[in-house]
Amino acid sequence: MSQHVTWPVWIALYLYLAGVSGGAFAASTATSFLGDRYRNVARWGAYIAPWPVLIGTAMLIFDLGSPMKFWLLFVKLNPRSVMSMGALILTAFGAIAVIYFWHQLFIEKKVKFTLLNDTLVKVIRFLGIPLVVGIGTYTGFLLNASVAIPMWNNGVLPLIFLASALSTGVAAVMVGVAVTGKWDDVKHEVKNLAIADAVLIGLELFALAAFVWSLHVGNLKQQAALDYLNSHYGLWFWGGVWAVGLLLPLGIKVFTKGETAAKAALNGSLVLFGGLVLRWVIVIAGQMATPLY
Amino acid sequence: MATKRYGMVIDLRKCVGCEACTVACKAENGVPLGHFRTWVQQVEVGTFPKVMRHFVPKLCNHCDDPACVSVCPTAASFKRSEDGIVLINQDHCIGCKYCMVACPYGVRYLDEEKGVVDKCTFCAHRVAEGIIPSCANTCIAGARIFGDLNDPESDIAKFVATHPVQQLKPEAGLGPNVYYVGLDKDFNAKLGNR
Repeated sequence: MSQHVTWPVWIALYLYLAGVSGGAFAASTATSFLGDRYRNVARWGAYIAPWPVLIGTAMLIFDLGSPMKFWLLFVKLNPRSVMSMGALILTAFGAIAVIYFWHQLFIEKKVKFTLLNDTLVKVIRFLGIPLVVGIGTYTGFLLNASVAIPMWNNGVLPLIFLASALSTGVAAVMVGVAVTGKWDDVKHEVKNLAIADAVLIGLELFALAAFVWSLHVGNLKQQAALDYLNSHYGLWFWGGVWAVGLLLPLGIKVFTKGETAAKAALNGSLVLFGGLVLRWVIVIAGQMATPLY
Repeated sequence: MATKRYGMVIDLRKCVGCEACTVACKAENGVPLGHFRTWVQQVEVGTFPKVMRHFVPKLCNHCDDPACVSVCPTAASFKRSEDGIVLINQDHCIGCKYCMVACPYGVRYLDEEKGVVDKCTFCAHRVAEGIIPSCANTCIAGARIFGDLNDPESDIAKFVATHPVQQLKPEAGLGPNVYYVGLDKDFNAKLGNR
Protein backbone atom coordinates (compact mmCIF):
# COMPACT_ATOMS: atom_id res chain seq x y z
CA MET A 1 0.00 0.00 0.00
CA SER A 2 1.37 3.35 -0.88
CA GLN A 3 0.69 6.39 1.19
CA HIS A 4 0.43 9.64 -0.58
CA VAL A 5 0.03 13.30 0.20
CA THR A 6 -1.77 14.90 -2.74
CA TRP A 7 -2.42 18.19 -1.00
CA PRO A 8 0.86 19.35 0.55
CA VAL A 9 1.59 21.45 3.61
CA TRP A 10 0.82 24.67 1.70
CA ILE A 11 -2.83 23.76 1.65
CA ALA A 12 -2.84 23.32 5.42
CA LEU A 13 -1.10 26.66 5.82
CA TYR A 14 -3.67 28.32 3.58
CA LEU A 15 -6.60 26.89 5.56
CA TYR A 16 -4.98 28.32 8.68
CA LEU A 17 -4.23 31.77 7.25
CA ALA A 18 -7.72 32.14 5.80
CA GLY A 19 -9.09 31.39 9.26
CA VAL A 20 -6.86 33.96 11.00
CA SER A 21 -7.98 36.61 8.52
CA GLY A 22 -11.63 35.70 8.98
CA GLY A 23 -11.39 35.79 12.76
CA ALA A 24 -9.54 39.11 12.79
CA PHE A 25 -12.11 40.64 10.46
CA ALA A 26 -14.95 39.30 12.64
CA ALA A 27 -13.33 40.83 15.73
CA SER A 28 -13.03 44.17 13.97
CA THR A 29 -16.55 44.37 12.54
CA ALA A 30 -18.30 42.89 15.58
CA THR A 31 -16.68 45.29 18.05
CA SER A 32 -17.33 48.29 15.81
CA PHE A 33 -21.01 47.95 16.74
CA LEU A 34 -20.05 48.59 20.37
CA GLY A 35 -18.85 52.10 19.62
CA ASP A 36 -15.56 53.67 20.48
CA ARG A 37 -14.81 51.50 23.51
CA TYR A 38 -13.17 48.89 21.32
CA ARG A 39 -11.42 51.17 18.87
CA ASN A 40 -8.07 49.37 19.20
CA VAL A 41 -9.64 45.98 18.50
CA ALA A 42 -11.51 47.41 15.52
CA ARG A 43 -8.30 49.01 14.32
CA TRP A 44 -6.06 45.97 14.69
CA GLY A 45 -8.66 43.65 13.24
CA ALA A 46 -8.82 45.84 10.14
CA TYR A 47 -5.01 46.00 9.98
CA ILE A 48 -4.49 42.25 10.22
CA ALA A 49 -7.43 40.86 8.22
CA PRO A 50 -6.32 41.22 4.58
CA TRP A 51 -2.75 39.89 4.76
CA PRO A 52 -2.85 36.27 5.93
CA VAL A 53 -5.60 35.38 3.46
CA LEU A 54 -3.77 37.08 0.59
CA ILE A 55 -0.55 35.19 1.37
CA GLY A 56 -2.53 31.96 1.70
CA THR A 57 -4.30 32.52 -1.60
CA ALA A 58 -0.96 33.04 -3.32
CA MET A 59 0.15 29.66 -1.92
CA LEU A 60 -3.03 28.04 -3.24
CA ILE A 61 -2.45 29.40 -6.71
CA PHE A 62 1.19 28.31 -6.79
CA ASP A 63 0.18 24.80 -5.73
CA LEU A 64 -2.03 24.45 -8.82
CA GLY A 65 -0.76 22.27 -11.64
CA SER A 66 -1.49 25.23 -13.93
CA PRO A 67 -1.22 28.44 -11.86
CA MET A 68 -1.81 30.63 -14.89
CA LYS A 69 -5.24 29.07 -15.41
CA PHE A 70 -6.55 30.04 -11.94
CA TRP A 71 -8.95 32.59 -13.48
CA LEU A 72 -11.03 29.70 -14.83
CA LEU A 73 -12.32 29.39 -11.24
CA PHE A 74 -14.37 32.53 -11.87
CA VAL A 75 -15.53 31.61 -15.36
CA LYS A 76 -16.40 27.92 -15.08
CA LEU A 77 -18.55 27.45 -11.99
CA ASN A 78 -19.73 24.21 -10.42
CA PRO A 79 -22.37 24.75 -7.72
CA ARG A 80 -21.73 21.26 -6.29
CA SER A 81 -18.04 21.99 -5.75
CA VAL A 82 -17.05 23.49 -2.42
CA MET A 83 -13.88 24.85 -4.01
CA SER A 84 -15.82 26.60 -6.76
CA MET A 85 -18.13 28.31 -4.28
CA GLY A 86 -15.26 28.87 -1.84
CA ALA A 87 -13.23 30.71 -4.48
CA LEU A 88 -16.08 33.21 -4.84
CA ILE A 89 -16.48 33.70 -1.08
CA LEU A 90 -12.72 34.00 -0.71
CA THR A 91 -12.46 36.65 -3.42
CA ALA A 92 -15.33 38.66 -2.00
CA PHE A 93 -13.82 38.43 1.46
CA GLY A 94 -10.31 39.35 0.31
CA ALA A 95 -11.55 42.38 -1.60
CA ILE A 96 -13.73 43.59 1.28
CA ALA A 97 -10.94 43.07 3.81
CA VAL A 98 -8.55 45.18 1.72
CA ILE A 99 -11.14 47.95 1.18
CA TYR A 100 -12.00 47.92 4.86
CA PHE A 101 -8.31 48.14 5.79
CA TRP A 102 -7.91 51.13 3.47
CA HIS A 103 -10.94 52.78 5.05
CA GLN A 104 -9.36 52.30 8.47
CA LEU A 105 -6.27 54.13 7.22
CA PHE A 106 -8.58 56.88 5.92
CA ILE A 107 -10.26 57.20 9.32
CA GLU A 108 -6.82 57.65 10.86
CA LYS A 109 -6.05 60.26 8.18
CA LYS A 110 -3.15 58.25 6.79
CA VAL A 111 -4.58 58.19 3.28
CA LYS A 112 -6.52 60.90 1.48
CA PHE A 113 -9.48 59.00 0.00
CA THR A 114 -11.70 56.02 0.71
CA LEU A 115 -13.97 53.79 -1.34
CA LEU A 116 -16.57 53.62 1.41
CA ASN A 117 -19.24 55.98 2.70
CA ASP A 118 -21.06 55.53 6.02
CA THR A 119 -23.78 53.34 4.53
CA LEU A 120 -21.30 51.02 2.85
CA VAL A 121 -19.31 50.70 6.06
CA LYS A 122 -22.48 49.62 7.84
CA VAL A 123 -23.27 47.13 5.09
CA ILE A 124 -19.78 45.63 5.37
CA ARG A 125 -20.07 45.38 9.13
CA PHE A 126 -23.36 43.50 8.78
CA LEU A 127 -21.99 41.33 5.98
CA GLY A 128 -18.83 40.71 7.98
CA ILE A 129 -20.22 37.97 10.19
CA PRO A 130 -21.89 35.81 7.50
CA LEU A 131 -18.84 36.26 5.27
CA VAL A 132 -16.53 35.18 8.06
CA VAL A 133 -18.76 32.20 8.85
CA GLY A 134 -18.49 31.36 5.16
CA ILE A 135 -14.69 31.60 5.19
CA GLY A 136 -14.37 29.70 8.46
CA THR A 137 -16.68 26.83 7.56
CA TYR A 138 -15.86 26.45 3.87
CA THR A 139 -12.30 25.31 4.59
CA GLY A 140 -13.89 22.51 6.61
CA PHE A 141 -16.50 21.69 3.97
CA LEU A 142 -13.68 21.64 1.42
CA LEU A 143 -12.06 18.65 3.13
CA ASN A 144 -15.44 17.31 4.20
CA ALA A 145 -16.43 16.68 0.56
CA SER A 146 -13.80 13.97 0.05
CA VAL A 147 -15.64 10.66 0.40
CA ALA A 148 -12.26 8.95 0.09
CA ILE A 149 -10.71 10.25 3.31
CA PRO A 150 -12.48 9.19 6.53
CA MET A 151 -10.74 11.77 8.71
CA TRP A 152 -12.02 14.55 6.44
CA ASN A 153 -15.41 13.15 5.56
CA ASN A 154 -16.69 14.14 8.98
CA GLY A 155 -19.53 16.57 9.58
CA VAL A 156 -17.94 18.23 12.61
CA LEU A 157 -14.91 19.44 10.66
CA PRO A 158 -16.49 22.73 9.44
CA LEU A 159 -17.46 23.58 13.02
CA ILE A 160 -13.95 22.85 14.32
CA PHE A 161 -12.45 25.03 11.61
CA LEU A 162 -14.95 27.84 12.24
CA ALA A 163 -14.24 27.84 15.98
CA SER A 164 -10.50 27.73 15.29
CA ALA A 165 -10.74 30.50 12.69
CA LEU A 166 -12.56 32.86 15.06
CA SER A 167 -10.33 31.90 17.97
CA THR A 168 -7.03 32.35 16.11
CA GLY A 169 -8.24 35.61 14.53
CA VAL A 170 -9.23 37.01 17.91
CA ALA A 171 -5.88 35.81 19.30
CA ALA A 172 -3.98 37.61 16.53
CA VAL A 173 -5.85 40.84 17.29
CA MET A 174 -5.27 40.34 21.00
CA VAL A 175 -1.52 39.98 20.49
CA GLY A 176 -1.47 43.05 18.24
CA VAL A 177 -3.40 45.23 20.67
CA ALA A 178 -1.59 44.01 23.81
CA VAL A 179 1.90 44.36 22.36
CA THR A 180 1.51 47.76 20.70
CA GLY A 181 -0.97 49.65 22.86
CA LYS A 182 -0.30 51.53 26.09
CA TRP A 183 -1.50 49.00 28.67
CA ASP A 184 -3.77 51.34 30.62
CA ASP A 185 -5.51 52.38 27.40
CA VAL A 186 -6.09 48.91 26.04
CA LYS A 187 -6.49 46.93 29.26
CA HIS A 188 -10.28 46.53 29.17
CA GLU A 189 -10.24 45.68 25.49
CA VAL A 190 -7.66 42.93 25.91
CA LYS A 191 -9.49 41.62 28.96
CA ASN A 192 -12.73 41.18 27.03
CA LEU A 193 -10.93 39.75 24.01
CA ALA A 194 -9.37 37.15 26.30
CA ILE A 195 -12.84 36.22 27.58
CA ALA A 196 -14.16 35.95 24.02
CA ASP A 197 -11.21 33.76 23.07
CA ALA A 198 -11.75 31.51 26.09
CA VAL A 199 -15.37 30.96 25.02
CA LEU A 200 -14.24 30.15 21.47
CA ILE A 201 -11.61 27.74 22.80
CA GLY A 202 -14.34 26.02 24.81
CA LEU A 203 -16.47 25.62 21.68
CA GLU A 204 -13.50 24.30 19.73
CA LEU A 205 -12.69 21.76 22.45
CA PHE A 206 -16.27 20.56 22.34
CA ALA A 207 -16.24 20.23 18.54
CA LEU A 208 -12.86 18.46 18.60
CA ALA A 209 -14.12 16.03 21.23
CA ALA A 210 -17.13 15.27 19.03
CA PHE A 211 -14.77 14.72 16.09
CA VAL A 212 -12.58 12.27 17.99
CA TRP A 213 -15.60 10.50 19.43
CA SER A 214 -17.28 10.10 16.05
CA LEU A 215 -14.11 8.47 14.68
CA HIS A 216 -13.79 6.31 17.78
CA VAL A 217 -17.31 4.87 17.52
CA GLY A 218 -17.42 5.00 13.71
CA ASN A 219 -16.94 2.30 11.10
CA LEU A 220 -13.71 0.36 10.57
CA LYS A 221 -12.19 3.00 8.30
CA GLN A 222 -12.94 5.79 10.78
CA GLN A 223 -11.47 3.78 13.62
CA ALA A 224 -8.38 3.08 11.52
CA ALA A 225 -8.07 6.78 10.79
CA LEU A 226 -8.17 7.60 14.51
CA ASP A 227 -5.62 4.86 15.20
CA TYR A 228 -3.34 6.38 12.61
CA LEU A 229 -3.83 9.87 14.04
CA ASN A 230 -3.00 8.65 17.54
CA SER A 231 -0.01 6.53 16.60
CA HIS A 232 1.68 8.79 14.04
CA TYR A 233 0.54 12.30 14.92
CA GLY A 234 -0.51 11.74 18.54
CA LEU A 235 2.10 14.07 19.98
CA TRP A 236 1.13 16.87 17.63
CA PHE A 237 -2.60 16.33 17.89
CA TRP A 238 -2.93 15.76 21.63
CA GLY A 239 0.16 17.68 22.74
CA GLY A 240 0.24 20.44 20.15
CA VAL A 241 -3.43 21.08 19.46
CA TRP A 242 -5.19 19.96 22.63
CA ALA A 243 -2.62 20.67 25.36
CA VAL A 244 -0.52 23.60 24.14
CA GLY A 245 -3.00 25.19 21.74
CA LEU A 246 -6.24 24.93 23.70
CA LEU A 247 -6.06 23.63 27.28
CA LEU A 248 -2.95 25.59 28.29
CA PRO A 249 -4.24 29.05 27.22
CA LEU A 250 -7.66 28.21 28.66
CA GLY A 251 -6.01 27.11 31.91
CA ILE A 252 -3.84 30.23 32.12
CA LYS A 253 -6.90 32.41 31.50
CA VAL A 254 -9.06 30.66 34.09
CA PHE A 255 -6.57 29.87 36.84
CA THR A 256 -4.34 32.94 36.93
CA LYS A 257 -5.62 36.25 38.21
CA GLY A 258 -5.24 39.62 36.57
CA GLU A 259 -4.56 40.53 32.98
CA THR A 260 -1.19 41.68 31.72
CA ALA A 261 0.10 42.42 28.24
CA ALA A 262 2.60 39.56 28.53
CA LYS A 263 -0.10 37.10 29.51
CA ALA A 264 -2.34 38.15 26.63
CA ALA A 265 0.55 37.92 24.18
CA LEU A 266 1.52 34.47 25.46
CA ASN A 267 -2.03 33.12 25.36
CA GLY A 268 -2.63 34.56 21.92
CA SER A 269 0.57 33.02 20.61
CA LEU A 270 -0.33 29.61 22.03
CA VAL A 271 -3.74 29.75 20.34
CA LEU A 272 -2.16 30.79 17.04
CA PHE A 273 0.29 27.90 17.31
CA GLY A 274 -2.47 25.41 18.11
CA GLY A 275 -4.57 26.50 15.15
CA LEU A 276 -1.64 26.02 12.79
CA VAL A 277 -0.86 22.54 14.12
CA LEU A 278 -4.55 21.61 13.89
CA ARG A 279 -4.72 22.37 10.14
CA TRP A 280 -1.41 20.65 9.48
CA VAL A 281 -2.36 17.47 11.37
CA ILE A 282 -5.82 17.18 9.79
CA VAL A 283 -4.62 17.85 6.23
CA ILE A 284 -1.51 15.66 6.30
CA ALA A 285 -2.55 12.87 8.69
CA GLY A 286 -5.92 12.62 6.95
CA GLN A 287 -4.24 11.81 3.66
CA MET A 288 -1.50 9.65 5.19
CA ALA A 289 -4.08 7.56 7.06
CA THR A 290 -5.72 6.75 3.73
CA PRO A 291 -3.62 4.36 1.65
CA LEU A 292 -3.92 5.21 -2.01
CA TYR A 293 -4.09 1.61 -3.24
CA MET B 1 -32.19 1.82 -24.26
CA ALA B 2 -31.50 5.31 -25.41
CA THR B 3 -28.23 6.00 -23.62
CA LYS B 4 -25.27 3.72 -23.18
CA ARG B 5 -23.57 2.86 -19.91
CA TYR B 6 -20.09 1.66 -20.62
CA GLY B 7 -18.53 -0.59 -18.02
CA MET B 8 -16.01 -3.35 -17.57
CA VAL B 9 -15.99 -6.74 -15.93
CA ILE B 10 -12.66 -8.08 -14.71
CA ASP B 11 -12.62 -11.81 -14.07
CA LEU B 12 -10.03 -12.27 -11.34
CA ARG B 13 -10.11 -16.04 -11.82
CA LYS B 14 -8.43 -15.49 -15.16
CA CYS B 15 -5.94 -12.73 -14.25
CA VAL B 16 -2.37 -13.96 -13.84
CA GLY B 17 -0.84 -10.55 -13.13
CA CYS B 18 1.21 -10.37 -16.33
CA GLU B 19 0.69 -6.58 -16.55
CA ALA B 20 0.17 -6.72 -20.30
CA CYS B 21 -2.81 -4.35 -19.77
CA THR B 22 -0.57 -1.94 -17.84
CA VAL B 23 1.91 -1.79 -20.69
CA ALA B 24 -0.68 -1.66 -23.47
CA CYS B 25 -2.42 1.25 -21.74
CA LYS B 26 0.79 3.21 -21.31
CA ALA B 27 1.66 2.74 -24.97
CA GLU B 28 -1.84 3.46 -26.26
CA ASN B 29 -2.35 6.61 -24.21
CA GLY B 30 1.20 7.93 -23.87
CA VAL B 31 0.93 7.90 -20.08
CA PRO B 32 3.83 9.86 -18.53
CA LEU B 33 6.66 8.17 -16.67
CA GLY B 34 5.75 7.22 -13.11
CA HIS B 35 1.99 7.30 -13.69
CA PHE B 36 -0.54 4.66 -14.67
CA ARG B 37 -4.12 4.66 -15.89
CA THR B 38 -4.47 0.97 -15.17
CA TRP B 39 -2.25 -1.33 -13.16
CA VAL B 40 -2.39 -4.69 -11.39
CA GLN B 41 -2.39 -4.55 -7.64
CA GLN B 42 -1.05 -7.59 -5.84
CA VAL B 43 -2.67 -8.59 -2.57
CA GLU B 44 -1.45 -11.23 -0.17
CA VAL B 45 -4.05 -12.95 1.97
CA GLY B 46 -3.71 -15.34 4.89
CA THR B 47 -0.87 -16.28 7.22
CA PHE B 48 1.94 -18.71 6.51
CA PRO B 49 1.70 -21.50 5.42
CA LYS B 50 -1.81 -20.81 4.16
CA VAL B 51 -1.07 -17.78 2.03
CA MET B 52 -2.29 -16.72 -1.34
CA ARG B 53 -1.50 -13.90 -3.72
CA HIS B 54 -4.30 -12.27 -5.67
CA PHE B 55 -4.10 -9.95 -8.65
CA VAL B 56 -6.52 -7.05 -8.85
CA PRO B 57 -6.37 -4.90 -11.97
CA LYS B 58 -7.41 -1.31 -11.24
CA LEU B 59 -8.66 1.52 -13.40
CA CYS B 60 -11.16 4.37 -13.32
CA ASN B 61 -14.57 3.04 -12.29
CA HIS B 62 -16.50 5.57 -14.40
CA CYS B 63 -18.95 5.92 -11.51
CA ASP B 64 -22.64 6.76 -11.83
CA ASP B 65 -22.18 9.74 -9.50
CA PRO B 66 -18.44 10.40 -9.60
CA ALA B 67 -16.89 12.23 -6.63
CA CYS B 68 -14.35 13.79 -8.99
CA VAL B 69 -17.12 15.42 -11.03
CA SER B 70 -18.96 16.84 -8.02
CA VAL B 71 -15.84 18.40 -6.46
CA CYS B 72 -14.26 19.79 -9.65
CA PRO B 73 -14.29 23.60 -9.24
CA THR B 74 -14.15 24.35 -12.96
CA ALA B 75 -16.41 21.52 -14.14
CA ALA B 76 -13.44 20.18 -16.11
CA SER B 77 -14.20 16.65 -14.91
CA PHE B 78 -17.46 15.53 -16.43
CA LYS B 79 -19.53 12.43 -17.11
CA ARG B 80 -20.42 12.12 -20.75
CA SER B 81 -24.21 11.93 -20.93
CA GLU B 82 -24.42 9.71 -24.01
CA ASP B 83 -22.30 6.83 -22.71
CA GLY B 84 -21.35 7.48 -19.07
CA ILE B 85 -17.60 7.76 -19.67
CA VAL B 86 -15.95 10.10 -17.13
CA LEU B 87 -13.54 12.47 -18.84
CA ILE B 88 -11.46 15.57 -18.11
CA ASN B 89 -11.57 18.66 -20.27
CA GLN B 90 -7.89 19.55 -20.20
CA ASP B 91 -8.51 23.13 -21.33
CA HIS B 92 -10.54 23.74 -18.17
CA CYS B 93 -8.51 21.70 -15.65
CA ILE B 94 -6.38 23.96 -13.45
CA GLY B 95 -4.60 21.12 -11.64
CA CYS B 96 -6.02 21.81 -8.17
CA LYS B 97 -6.00 18.05 -7.40
CA TYR B 98 -9.34 18.23 -5.56
CA CYS B 99 -10.53 15.25 -7.66
CA MET B 100 -7.44 13.30 -6.61
CA VAL B 101 -8.23 13.66 -2.92
CA ALA B 102 -11.92 12.93 -3.54
CA CYS B 103 -11.59 9.76 -5.64
CA PRO B 104 -11.80 6.67 -3.40
CA TYR B 105 -10.07 4.56 -6.06
CA GLY B 106 -6.85 6.56 -6.41
CA VAL B 107 -6.98 6.34 -10.20
CA ARG B 108 -6.05 9.94 -11.00
CA TYR B 109 -2.63 11.53 -11.36
CA LEU B 110 -1.23 14.96 -12.04
CA ASP B 111 0.53 15.20 -15.40
CA GLU B 112 3.26 17.55 -14.19
CA GLU B 113 4.31 18.55 -17.69
CA LYS B 114 0.84 19.58 -18.83
CA GLY B 115 -0.19 20.82 -15.37
CA VAL B 116 -3.48 18.95 -15.54
CA VAL B 117 -4.98 15.84 -13.96
CA ASP B 118 -5.44 12.76 -16.11
CA LYS B 119 -6.77 9.22 -15.87
CA CYS B 120 -8.33 6.29 -17.75
CA THR B 121 -10.76 7.33 -20.50
CA PHE B 122 -12.00 3.80 -21.28
CA CYS B 123 -9.97 4.53 -24.44
CA ALA B 124 -12.74 6.83 -25.63
CA HIS B 125 -10.81 7.45 -28.85
CA ARG B 126 -10.89 3.70 -29.64
CA VAL B 127 -14.48 3.25 -28.49
CA ALA B 128 -15.48 6.03 -30.89
CA GLU B 129 -14.12 3.84 -33.71
CA GLY B 130 -16.06 0.83 -32.47
CA ILE B 131 -13.11 -1.04 -30.95
CA ILE B 132 -12.58 -2.03 -27.33
CA PRO B 133 -10.12 -0.38 -24.89
CA SER B 134 -6.49 -1.33 -25.23
CA CYS B 135 -6.29 -3.16 -21.88
CA ALA B 136 -9.21 -5.45 -22.73
CA ASN B 137 -7.87 -5.91 -26.25
CA THR B 138 -4.47 -7.07 -25.08
CA CYS B 139 -5.42 -9.19 -22.05
CA ILE B 140 -3.85 -12.63 -22.55
CA ALA B 141 -6.62 -14.40 -20.68
CA GLY B 142 -9.66 -12.44 -21.81
CA ALA B 143 -10.15 -11.40 -18.20
CA ARG B 144 -11.49 -7.96 -19.14
CA ILE B 145 -14.89 -7.65 -20.78
CA PHE B 146 -15.83 -4.17 -21.99
CA GLY B 147 -19.24 -3.10 -23.23
CA ASP B 148 -22.56 -1.37 -22.75
CA LEU B 149 -24.23 -2.44 -19.52
CA ASN B 150 -27.53 -0.98 -20.73
CA ASP B 151 -27.67 -3.25 -23.79
CA PRO B 152 -29.07 -6.62 -22.62
CA GLU B 153 -27.62 -8.30 -25.72
CA SER B 154 -24.02 -7.20 -24.98
CA ASP B 155 -21.44 -9.68 -23.69
CA ILE B 156 -20.91 -7.65 -20.53
CA ALA B 157 -24.63 -7.37 -19.67
CA LYS B 158 -25.10 -11.11 -20.22
CA PHE B 159 -22.05 -11.84 -18.08
CA VAL B 160 -23.20 -9.61 -15.23
CA ALA B 161 -26.68 -11.16 -15.38
CA THR B 162 -25.35 -14.69 -15.04
CA HIS B 163 -22.37 -14.35 -12.70
CA PRO B 164 -21.96 -13.16 -9.12
CA VAL B 165 -20.09 -9.87 -9.50
CA GLN B 166 -18.69 -7.39 -6.98
CA GLN B 167 -17.61 -3.77 -7.05
CA LEU B 168 -14.75 -2.03 -5.28
CA LYS B 169 -15.91 0.00 -2.29
CA PRO B 170 -19.63 -0.02 -3.02
CA GLU B 171 -20.02 1.63 0.40
CA ALA B 172 -18.61 4.88 -1.04
CA GLY B 173 -21.97 5.09 -2.79
CA LEU B 174 -20.64 6.33 -6.12
CA GLY B 175 -22.01 3.50 -8.28
CA PRO B 176 -18.79 2.20 -9.86
CA ASN B 177 -19.18 0.61 -13.31
CA VAL B 178 -16.19 -1.71 -13.10
CA TYR B 179 -17.25 -5.13 -11.84
CA TYR B 180 -15.07 -7.94 -10.57
CA VAL B 181 -15.55 -11.68 -10.38
CA GLY B 182 -13.91 -13.34 -7.40
CA LEU B 183 -13.30 -10.20 -5.38
CA ASP B 184 -12.95 -11.93 -2.05
CA LYS B 185 -14.17 -10.03 0.99
CA ASP B 186 -10.96 -10.89 2.87
CA PHE B 187 -8.71 -9.23 0.38
CA ASN B 188 -11.14 -6.51 -0.62
CA ALA B 189 -10.59 -5.18 2.90
CA LYS B 190 -6.86 -5.08 2.22
CA LEU B 191 -7.15 -2.91 -0.86
CA GLY B 192 -6.86 0.33 1.07
CA ASN B 193 -9.31 3.06 1.73
CA ARG B 194 -8.72 4.87 -1.48
